[in-house]
Amino acid sequence: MSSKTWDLFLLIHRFHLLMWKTLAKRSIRSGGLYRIVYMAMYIRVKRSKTTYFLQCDPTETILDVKQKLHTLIDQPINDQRLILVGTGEILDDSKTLADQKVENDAVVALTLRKDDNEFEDVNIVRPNDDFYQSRDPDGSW
Amino acid sequence: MRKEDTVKLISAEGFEFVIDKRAAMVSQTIRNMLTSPGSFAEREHGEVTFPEISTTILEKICQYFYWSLQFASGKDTEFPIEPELTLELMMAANYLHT
Repeated sequence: MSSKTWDLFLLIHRFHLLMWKTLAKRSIRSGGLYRIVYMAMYIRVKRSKTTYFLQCDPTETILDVKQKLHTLIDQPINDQRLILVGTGEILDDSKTLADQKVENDAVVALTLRKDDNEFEDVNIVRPNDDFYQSRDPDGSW
Repeated sequence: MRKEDTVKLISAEGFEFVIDKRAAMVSQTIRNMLTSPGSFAEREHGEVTFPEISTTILEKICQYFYWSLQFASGKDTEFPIEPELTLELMMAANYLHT
């Protein structure tokens, strides 16, 4: 190898190092390598006063979703039932989200199996809409 | 997704929203709470209570976090805001540095 090509090689090498350093610094500053998170969709699973935001993909099955819920709430998959709130349809474990028209930002109700082996009714508590009025009766901020 | 990767945001009325930490960190205020060393109890329990933010607004904010991540990864949709929520939402966004 001639010294000229060698010089060129070194130059490119240095440039690469510099680039990686800058990239690494930038990613540390922005809080980790994955500042930009790829997310196809999310659904909102609601029960009582709690809402779980779950990231998912339209090709995932309801079983996959229940698996995710299992890691969050420690309820066995068999004791979970998911119901699409818009239509009232009970979601089928083997079908995908796309199959059952569960779209981005959809609200899904979670019901759990009770002691008598039946599933409880859908129970989603809604916030009292006049919270701000009741807290501030004279209407001033 | 593991339980440790989520954070629970609690509204004024005690409603709970469990969201991904990466989504919550869209808010600079929450990011500081979750990442600053020691001091914040929020960091240990993975729970943040917002006695000033109503449930409707907090849910909207969580939706915004997720929308923001989707937008950053190239999904070009609009974020819908109901006119009657605008003022409260702006105040909350100001507080959260969002």
